[in-house]
Amino acid sequence: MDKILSNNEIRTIITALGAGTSQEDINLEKLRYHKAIIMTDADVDGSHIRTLLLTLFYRHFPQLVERGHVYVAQPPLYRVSKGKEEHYISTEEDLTRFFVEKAVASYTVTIPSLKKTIRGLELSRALETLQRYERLLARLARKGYTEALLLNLFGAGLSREIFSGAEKIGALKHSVEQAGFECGELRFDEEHSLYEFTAKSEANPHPALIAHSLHHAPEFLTAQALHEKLKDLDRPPFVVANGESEAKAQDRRALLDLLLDSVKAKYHIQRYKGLGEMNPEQLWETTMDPAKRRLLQVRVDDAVEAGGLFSVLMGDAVEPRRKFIEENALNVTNLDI
Amino acid sequence: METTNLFDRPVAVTIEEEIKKSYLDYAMSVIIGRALPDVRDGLKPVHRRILYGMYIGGNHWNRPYKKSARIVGDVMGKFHPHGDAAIYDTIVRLAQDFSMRHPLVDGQGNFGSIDGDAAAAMRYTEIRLAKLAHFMAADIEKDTVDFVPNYDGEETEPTVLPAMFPNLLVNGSSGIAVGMATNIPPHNLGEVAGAVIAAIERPEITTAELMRHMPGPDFPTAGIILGREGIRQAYETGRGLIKLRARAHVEEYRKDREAIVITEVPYQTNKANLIEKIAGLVKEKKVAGITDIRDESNREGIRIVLELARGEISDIVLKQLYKHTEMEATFGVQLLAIAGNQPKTFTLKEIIEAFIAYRKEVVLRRTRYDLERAKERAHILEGLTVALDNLDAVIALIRAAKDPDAAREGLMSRFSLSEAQAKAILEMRLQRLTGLERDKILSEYREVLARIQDLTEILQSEARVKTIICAEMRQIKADFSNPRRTQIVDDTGDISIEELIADEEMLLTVTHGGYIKRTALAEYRSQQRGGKGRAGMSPREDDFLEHLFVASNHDRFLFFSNQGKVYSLKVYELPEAGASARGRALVNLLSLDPGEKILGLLSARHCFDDSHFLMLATNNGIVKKTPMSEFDSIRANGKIAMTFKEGDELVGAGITDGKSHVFMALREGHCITFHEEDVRPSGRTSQGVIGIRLKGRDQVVEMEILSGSVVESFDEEGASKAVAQEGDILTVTENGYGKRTPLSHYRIQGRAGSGIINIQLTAKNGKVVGGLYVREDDEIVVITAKGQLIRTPVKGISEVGRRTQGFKVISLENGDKVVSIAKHLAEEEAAQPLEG
Repeated sequence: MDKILSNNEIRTIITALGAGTSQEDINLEKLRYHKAIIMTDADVDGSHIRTLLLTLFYRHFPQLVERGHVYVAQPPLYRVSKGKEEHYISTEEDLTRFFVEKAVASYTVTIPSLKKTIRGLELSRALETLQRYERLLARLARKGYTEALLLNLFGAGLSREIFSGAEKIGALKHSVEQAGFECGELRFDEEHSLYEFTAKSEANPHPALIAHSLHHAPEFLTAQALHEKLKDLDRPPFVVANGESEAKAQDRRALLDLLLDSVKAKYHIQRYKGLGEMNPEQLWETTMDPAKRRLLQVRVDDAVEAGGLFSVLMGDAVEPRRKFIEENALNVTNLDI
Repeated sequence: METTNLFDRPVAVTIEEEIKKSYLDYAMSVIIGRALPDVRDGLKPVHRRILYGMYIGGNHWNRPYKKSARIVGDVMGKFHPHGDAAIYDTIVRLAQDFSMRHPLVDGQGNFGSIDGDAAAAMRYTEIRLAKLAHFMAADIEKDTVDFVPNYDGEETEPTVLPAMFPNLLVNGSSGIAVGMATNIPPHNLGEVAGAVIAAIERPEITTAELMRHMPGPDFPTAGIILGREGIRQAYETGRGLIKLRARAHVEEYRKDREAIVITEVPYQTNKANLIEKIAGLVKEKKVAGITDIRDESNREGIRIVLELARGEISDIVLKQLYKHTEMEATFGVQLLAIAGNQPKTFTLKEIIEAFIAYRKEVVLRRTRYDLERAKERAHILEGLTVALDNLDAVIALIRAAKDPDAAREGLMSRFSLSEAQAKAILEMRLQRLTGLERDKILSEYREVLARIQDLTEILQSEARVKTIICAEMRQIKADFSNPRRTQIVDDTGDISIEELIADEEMLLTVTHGGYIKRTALAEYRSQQRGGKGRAGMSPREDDFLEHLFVASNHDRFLFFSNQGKVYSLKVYELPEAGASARGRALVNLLSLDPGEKILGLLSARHCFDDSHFLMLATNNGIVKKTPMSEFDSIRANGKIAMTFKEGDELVGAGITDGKSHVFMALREGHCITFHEEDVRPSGRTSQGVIGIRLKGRDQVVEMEILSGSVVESFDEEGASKAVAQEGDILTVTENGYGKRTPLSHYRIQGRAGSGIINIQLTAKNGKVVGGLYVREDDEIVVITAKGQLIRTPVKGISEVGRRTQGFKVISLENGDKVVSIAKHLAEEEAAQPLEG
């Protein structure tokens, strides 16, 4: 505790709260503020400081967390401006949505092979679906499921039946191999009496497990559903027009780039890494003004899990921490290099 | 996180979720994007950004230096939105020739020193890329690596540099991420290049074969690596410990003295701290024999001089320095690097393979790029040839055209040229129409065609690609490698100090006041032959020689304290001094607790086994016997030899051989003699058993081990045992009375009895103060409460029976009393080893 109190910032926090110095002598009656809002920079070092502060509150003033006095501020991640027009945007998803709307407002997309033109709401929906699909693909690709492999599997119409008979799964394996993948031996999962195998390719050397569990995985199912919705966009090329000029896109990704890049180019995008990048008025407007700010209230759902997590992440032992990082490495959402 | 509520109505988030997400963001960012190097170019992002920033900024090795602050600002603004100090520190390290085996930055100005001095501020120093650093970035403009937008999307930056040499191995890397860390030692460029070439030529090469090319790390600070096993393990598994030593040699000075001169320190050792540490050790007396420390290092190199006292053995001092200071350091190798956005522990071969695979990719991409350019050029040249062949028609067409566009289109349709070709024709200068120039165009065309042929072949032949990589490696090796600096020697194991010290016979003296020293027996004897009286020590008035041993340097001394602790020193650890010196106080050699006194000492050598025992006796008549093997690993900081009941103290200690007898004398006149077999051996910390049963407040005053000298015999009745042997028990009492009684008068009894009468006590003679086993020629010293020391030969004390009160041995001043007696050892006895 003495060591904790030797940190100036922590001393200031404890003084400001005014409710005592530790969980033993805490007196919530005396609490001077009912919202302790953690506001750190939007970069990964900010994330780190946030975890440290959460640890402080959780370990030393658990009552504050339990009573819902601890909040996390949500400063915007982006400022998008064009001339006098400016917008604050809080997540990457919102940012793309913003550009999709801008793109839809000025462009139409024609699919010559279907003699079909999409515009307005339809276009915006299609683009959003496309983006979700692309994001999902990227996530699946990290686990070894490349788009080429997935398309094969979508087509195969996976079912429990396929995985339960050696013959059927043999056929599936054969078709995957035909598509240029290198497959591992068939394995029999005795517990579920189902077959499985792995597939890899040069583009993705990380072997992907093709098993019944995949057919149930939400990511896979969602990707499959989205793919279904995107049928129209499976027929490139596309022609993008805005009344004055036209441009051709050879595939879906190029279409997305073409539409969004042309809009993006018109705007100035600033990604906030530090709170110090904002003027005082901007900070007030976006993050601090009680009328407009967005807060996350920190709650404890499962005290046991939380306690264990804090021990792993903040404890002295390195090995469990390393294990946690390895197990969760693929779930990381915000890599900042 | 969808947000529909904008007005301060918070969304709930669980602490588990929030901390998990935030922590992972942080941890993975640090692992992938900050602390660990990429296996391909061996650079962390900050390094890569600095080198790339300098490269595109034209800050080349053959151009003038630029202010460091400019580079820092550039790199920070364009690529690296972090602190300026962090960037500058990184640049400084890249320029330090004691940190980098091959510095990648060429610095002008003060870039710090191996003493840990900081570099000058970035507004003073100037930098440019080192020549070798260009080969990190070479070909980067040829689409050899992927680029990504920088943090604000204004610029693009490379995700990796093309790296023509394996920088990860050459310069090493170290970094602490979250939950993992990397520590890769630097290597010799020439050796690494050799290993890479060997691995290209024979992909199935083994680690052992690779080590024939690169036997181990090569540190910029040179030094000596001890042993190859740690290196092999590190290379084979990615983890290993490498023992690294400073280089030191011995110089003679002032004719008869030696000095240790350190000329190289282990990698990453701060020289100033090292010297400070040595000075501290000398001050705390942990390392003896150093009389002066000077740092004579200059711009030429390191030179730390440690002057030794006369007669000090430099090897022993060095050995101690290796043990206690950073003159010997361990480099914990961790071959952890990032590959495919994930951290991985590599083996040496995997690092080399990753580098080769990456180089193949770079060479292929470069070749493809060159091929594209060559084809474009060929296309233009084809057009130009067409124009030259139809020169007059072309000129006429151009002259007739109304504007450049018309001319271009005319050319395109008339000669079926492409737009690019037509443009090139229009931009051609008139001088190219001369005959010579036309030949040039033709010969260039042929060259380009040959080049296209060549490049296409490269793309189709893996063998060609390999040859190119090897050739480039050889070129870099020829241009930049320099000889190995770090020497690798076999680890001869832990050479103990003992092996460095001759096992000479020494004469050890311990005074009653606790001063101890050792003198080479040879010296002692030669002085004796000098013949001028006694050449022995001249102790102070109040002190006298109490113990005298002849022991070898490798023998061990056990010291017993009144608190039941035992301390141990090797003979060679005792101060060596001339015959007439007093020596050093024991309290300075052992770490005694306050109030702790050394009561007894033993010398022992080959008896730390289970057939010899340590016998201890206390005031209260307790004895304890412990196998000597339990005292084998005792050091100068002591161990418990016996646990006492409160108020009890140790009175004596001795080594037995399992066949000895124990004699104990009591203050009230009784004594006991028993066979040591009566005492069962017990553990070091046990309390022991009753040796003699005491009446009232009686106390044990002495314990003697009668070894060898005792022969059991039977008295006339044939039943009870008695001792028949030469020698006497000499008993002295408080009031100066004493007597000798032959050992044969002392019957051997069982343990734990109350004993037999040793001396008749009366008001006249007082209580017993000591009882020693003596021989005819011994001398004893009687010590009185007032500090008087009286030496008297044993011969002068009469030999009588047990039940007598003895005779006046010394006359005491009024009120003075005898407090103890001790054997005074005649120095002639030194000729025969005494104990142990």
